[in-house]
Amino acid sequence: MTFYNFLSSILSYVFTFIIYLFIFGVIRLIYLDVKKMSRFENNSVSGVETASLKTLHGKNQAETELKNRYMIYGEAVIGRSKTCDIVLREKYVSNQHVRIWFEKGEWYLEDLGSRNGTEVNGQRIRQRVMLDPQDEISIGGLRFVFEL
Amino acid sequence: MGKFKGLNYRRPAYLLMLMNMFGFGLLFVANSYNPNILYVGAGLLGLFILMYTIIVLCRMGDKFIMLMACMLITIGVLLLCRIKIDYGIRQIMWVAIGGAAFFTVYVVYYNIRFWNRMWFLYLALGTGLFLATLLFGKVVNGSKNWISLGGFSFQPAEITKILFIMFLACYYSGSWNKPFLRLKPKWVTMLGTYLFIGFLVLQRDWGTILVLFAIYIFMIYVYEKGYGFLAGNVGVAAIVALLGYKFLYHIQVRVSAWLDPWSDIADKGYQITQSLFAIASGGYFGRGLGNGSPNYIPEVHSDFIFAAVCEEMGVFGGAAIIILFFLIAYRCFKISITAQDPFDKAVCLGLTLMFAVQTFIIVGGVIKMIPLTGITLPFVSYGGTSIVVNFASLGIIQAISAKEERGTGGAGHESK
Amino acid sequence: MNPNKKIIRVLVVVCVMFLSLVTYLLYFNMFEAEEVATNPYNKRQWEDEKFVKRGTIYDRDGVVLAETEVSGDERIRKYPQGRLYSHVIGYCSKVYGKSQLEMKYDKELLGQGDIAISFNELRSGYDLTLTIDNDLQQYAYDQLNGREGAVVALEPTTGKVLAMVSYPDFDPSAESLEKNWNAIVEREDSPLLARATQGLYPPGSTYKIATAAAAYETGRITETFQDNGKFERDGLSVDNYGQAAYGEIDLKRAFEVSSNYAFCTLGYEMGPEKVLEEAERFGVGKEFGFDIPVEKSEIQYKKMTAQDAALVSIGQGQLLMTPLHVAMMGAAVANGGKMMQPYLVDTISTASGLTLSETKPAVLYDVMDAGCAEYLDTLMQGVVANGTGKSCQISGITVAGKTGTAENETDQDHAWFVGYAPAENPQIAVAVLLEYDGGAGGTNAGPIARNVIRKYLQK
Repeated sequence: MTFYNFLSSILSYVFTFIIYLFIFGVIRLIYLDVKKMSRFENNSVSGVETASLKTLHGKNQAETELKNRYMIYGEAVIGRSKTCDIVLREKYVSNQHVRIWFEKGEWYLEDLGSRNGTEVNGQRIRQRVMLDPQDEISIGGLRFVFEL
Repeated sequence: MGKFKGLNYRRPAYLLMLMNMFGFGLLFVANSYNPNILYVGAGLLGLFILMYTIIVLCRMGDKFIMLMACMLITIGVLLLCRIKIDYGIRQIMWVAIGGAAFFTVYVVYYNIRFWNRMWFLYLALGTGLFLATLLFGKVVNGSKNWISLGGFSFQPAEITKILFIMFLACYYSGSWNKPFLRLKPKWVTMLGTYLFIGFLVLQRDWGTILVLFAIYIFMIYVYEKGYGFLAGNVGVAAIVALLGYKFLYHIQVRVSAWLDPWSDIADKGYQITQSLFAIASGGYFGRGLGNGSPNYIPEVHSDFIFAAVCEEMGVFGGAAIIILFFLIAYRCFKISITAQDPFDKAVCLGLTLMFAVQTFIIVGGVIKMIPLTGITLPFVSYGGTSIVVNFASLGIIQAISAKEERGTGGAGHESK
Repeated sequence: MNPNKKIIRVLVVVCVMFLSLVTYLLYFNMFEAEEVATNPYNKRQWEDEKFVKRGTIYDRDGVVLAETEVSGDERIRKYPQGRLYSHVIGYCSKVYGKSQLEMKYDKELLGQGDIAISFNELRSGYDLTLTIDNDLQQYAYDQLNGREGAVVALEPTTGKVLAMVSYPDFDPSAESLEKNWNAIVEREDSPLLARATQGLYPPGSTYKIATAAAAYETGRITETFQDNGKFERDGLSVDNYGQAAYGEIDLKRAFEVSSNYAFCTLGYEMGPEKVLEEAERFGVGKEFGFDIPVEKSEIQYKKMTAQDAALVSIGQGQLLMTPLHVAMMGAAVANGGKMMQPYLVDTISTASGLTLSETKPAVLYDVMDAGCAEYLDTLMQGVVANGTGKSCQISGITVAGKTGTAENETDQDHAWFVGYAPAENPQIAVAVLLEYDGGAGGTNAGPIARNVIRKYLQK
């Protein structure tokens, strides 16, 4: 057995270890990814109502990059906190800013006591309001269009 | 918190780099400090970092598929370098070209919206390639499936696989419903499928036949309403396969070499038994990179590379490759399921099945679970056409995934 | 139409496909890989030998039995004793693989498991010292004198194999083997079969030792038998050898004259349960590890009847044993009822003479208590003194033994003898089998055993 053979046999265990660690890492990331989307999976199966917030890029001055569209499946809490369904990491967005949900055939919105407020079609809202398609919603200064 | 999360996110990528450095470092020692090994390793590492960074930065959709494909390529190039350095050097060039193809196809597929209307083009191009192969092709290992153009050879069958999938997707996405020559599109796709398979029979490319047919059968299963058409196709195929077994010597040899390779080790069973010797000698953890004798296996750089992996990296290494392919297939299935546009959905499903079936056929063949039919193991085997085409397929899947993630999937293809 | 549901089903199918690949791969590696890897066509097996000089095999006195000559890249395995050890040491051919000790001790002979890292130098494998006495082996071979069969000699107190000869044999040198392989394989008398360890034969009357032990344990040794020369019960009819009738006899006499009537009666009356139990005590149907491959002695009945028990009690029926096992049976009696684990390889040592491992004698089965062994000892001494084994008497030495003449599928009986000596302080136990000999064990097999014993004790 030469020195190289010896080294290589030892490293064969290292390789196996690295590959499986890699696979494990990928599976973990995929799992996290799926968990994030699991709400979608469940709702699409049970046929829960969906709506979306389309970002009005032209009118926003965001610090972070916003998605073109945020999907809402039945219910969504929007805010800066990681626990929210839709996370907006923006300066003027409160941890738990606003909630949008579907109830008895209608979509509703309520402000969760945010510091910088929520506006629907330019109106600052204080209590829950019913939403219509194409309503423009402003969350801490970020503008979206509510679409079904 | 954000920083920490980012680190986690990149961890598999770091492991891949670690694997690359360890592996090529070891081969560098094994090949008496041949610097070419290091160049190959560094080149591969560079290509991987470049591609992965572009995908992440440009938000090109799914990040995992390319990560796993890169792991497969790393293992493949390691083994190729170990078998013969020339293979490794050429493979890395193909990977570079493949990477370019990946991004080109990504951009082209992403921006063109009328793919679903060109079924005739796919059929005509595929047929043309097959005819060219029959006329100008050269015979390699008993299969006439290579075309040589000015010192540059390629396998048209690999390209026709993508054309075939696009062709099927045209009909099954529902965007093609006008009869052609009074034939319903359903029958045209069927005839097209059997036309392609017929050409492949003439080329004796049994592996690709199995891949195309499996894709077709799965497509029928997913998209046709009843099971009658499916049963009919499977039934006809079974009868044809039986007849083929009775009258075609090539098929008989393959089946008998599968059932009992040990009775004729020196001749018909040679390939498969050499492959099994390699796997059996590897054990669970392998004999170590550079310690084995993969060169005893015929065609070890292309069809039989899985046996070499098993010998030097062990059954666990082999299982890891299978798991990686499964994860790739899983991600692609997921993209196909979430894709909004029917054409994207069908194309993605077809390409996914192509990867999955091809892997199953060649790995199953090499370990003697099913009869052996020569076909490359995607991303791992040596082969220019194979690498470029597989990257191009990934490019399409990536584009579909990106459309979905950016929420532009709904726009989709033009429909009439 | 939403195809997603069906796509998920396709995903499940793909999942099953990949899972089956992994399962098959693991299955292959667990259950088939070893056999495949040692297939002689697997060229990998010879790679290690490039760097190693295969170890030498010695007899217990240091006589070389197998050694490797190195000339450049060539490795030639030489067997100075020629065919004598073809069934013990076996062969070592690049074309046909390895057998017997060359196979079982391949790793040791190649010095593997040794992390001495030497840089591409030629290294020596480990040497084996066997328990075999080369002179005795040669003598036993000569005594067999070309007759098909086997001779096994053991040291009863330790289980050391002193001699183990099987015939017909073959020239184990790789050159000859590769030239004559087809002829050897096709020969009807199967020279490749190591009869001593892998040949299964009905033990015939030698098995009456076990039946007598069962009789002792069930308290039947005072019984007498009315032997009219023929055992007849429930349609089963067994004659004594040569249709002899011995009249009224006790068990000791029945053992000496090898009365089938008496032992069939015993077996019939003790019943299948006791007969099977006794067989198991002697190790029939059980595997025991040995230094070379050994066939398991067997007793094969789906449901054993009393007639079957009667037949097994005289070593016929579905009972088959190897000559090695029959020798162990005799040695167990000689060793006060303890059957020792037999072994061939005494020590493993490096080329420089450092002993790496030494086999320690170990009890394999506690077959019977000392009283029973003593009783059997008197019976077996009687066989040689005034029974069927008179041909084994040696002046000045008390020999104990048992003859056997086993019926088989042909009309040529196997001749058996198993015995040991000196009875007071046994030093050697011998089993002799002459395959399809046609003669009686006492007259044909006995003298071979006697000569082997005498040769060993005179040393």
